[in-house]
Amino acid sequence: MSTSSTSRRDFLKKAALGLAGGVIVYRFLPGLGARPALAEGNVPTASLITHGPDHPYYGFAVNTRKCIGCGKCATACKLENGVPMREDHFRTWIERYVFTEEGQVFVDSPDGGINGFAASPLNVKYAGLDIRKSFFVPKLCNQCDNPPCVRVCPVGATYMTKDGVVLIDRGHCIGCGYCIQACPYGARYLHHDIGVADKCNWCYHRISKGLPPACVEVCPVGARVFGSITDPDSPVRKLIRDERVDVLKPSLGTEPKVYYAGLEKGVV
Amino acid sequence: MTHLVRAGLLLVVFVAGFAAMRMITPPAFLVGLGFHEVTESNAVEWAGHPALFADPADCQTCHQDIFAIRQAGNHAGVSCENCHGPATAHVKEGARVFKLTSRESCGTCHSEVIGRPASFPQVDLDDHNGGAECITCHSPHKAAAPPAVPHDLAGRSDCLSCHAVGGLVPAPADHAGRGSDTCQTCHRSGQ
Repeated sequence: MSTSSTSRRDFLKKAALGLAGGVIVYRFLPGLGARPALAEGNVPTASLITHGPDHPYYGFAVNTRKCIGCGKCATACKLENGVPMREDHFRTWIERYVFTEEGQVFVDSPDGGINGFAASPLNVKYAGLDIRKSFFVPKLCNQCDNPPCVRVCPVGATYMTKDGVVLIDRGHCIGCGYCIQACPYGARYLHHDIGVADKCNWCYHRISKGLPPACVEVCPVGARVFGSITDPDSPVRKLIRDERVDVLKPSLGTEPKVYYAGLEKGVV
Repeated sequence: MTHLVRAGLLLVVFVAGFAAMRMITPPAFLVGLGFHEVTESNAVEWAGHPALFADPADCQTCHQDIFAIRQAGNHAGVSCENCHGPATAHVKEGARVFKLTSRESCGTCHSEVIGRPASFPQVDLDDHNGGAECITCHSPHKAAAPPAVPHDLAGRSDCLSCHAVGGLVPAPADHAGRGSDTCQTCHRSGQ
């Protein structure tokens, strides 16, 4: 031990102070950790949002009790947004969850559910099982308020707009795929034809004109709703009031903005 | 230990530098060199794309009669574009729309599939009036099942004697030309 070394007590004191300082800096320095949090828990609290009726802050809600797995949403999305009809290119897709009486959970999504589930290769298997419950879970980009995809982009090509939508600047994306790996929901994919990352953007070209996203427009049973979460009369706020809601993977801290009614433990 | 202090300081400088680069908006000359700065223009570019899907209200502008039938029936909440495709090109330039009329297309929503809510109207397409197009009995806009026969059929083989189009208990106008022998294909007793 050299004579200039600190004692163990001194080291521990300095480490503790450094840790405390780091936490304070992280929480309060703008741009690092202090964001206007959407809410504690999963429900938006309008008072925490710096937007008002003239400045929408968009949200989305899905009611899995209503979804019939017809796939019209996935079809409309591909048509509206020019998404290639490849099997690995989906901005939105539907998953079917089957829970058996023995406690097993099965998931299938034949071609993203775009043609419905009537021809799913797993139907034969499911017919022989003792099914407790089964339902559909449509999925899309959650436009997280703490988006991991934005955080990891090495060139800053993806960003969040003032109205709460995460967009990709195709001119700057280099197609490295880091954001695709970072998204815990599998919402992003590499666009085969143009070599950049792509994902659902809640039909930004439609919502900017006051139209709903294409998937919301065509859903025959009203399982998808869209609106501004700063507007207490919007369909999203209404669903959040009327239903028990949750988000996907809440423990990851991504603060998703797609609220689900009718989720079950076992839905990932 | 002093060599570790220097290395530690170097690490702190690198981390702080990286964090600063990510947080601080780059000055203009760096943007000119290709260092990316997020601007509103990209969001504006995305917002400017044309929409392909319209809204049933746009269809109503010209197709009021069909719209009224649909509004009164079970498909009131089903967008026209589900079966007729994106409408904006049709509204703007008169492009043709398609009509999905096959059993498979109706079955996309109405076939019996594991996972559908039990309260949703669905049938086993293999068992249900196989071969014929669904719209033979089910108007796609009114979207109702053909009414079941509420009375005993004994001694009543000629349906048209009461149910001719314009008769005592008239059949709807679109039933014109159908013979009595065809009625029970769709109208079942107590179904």
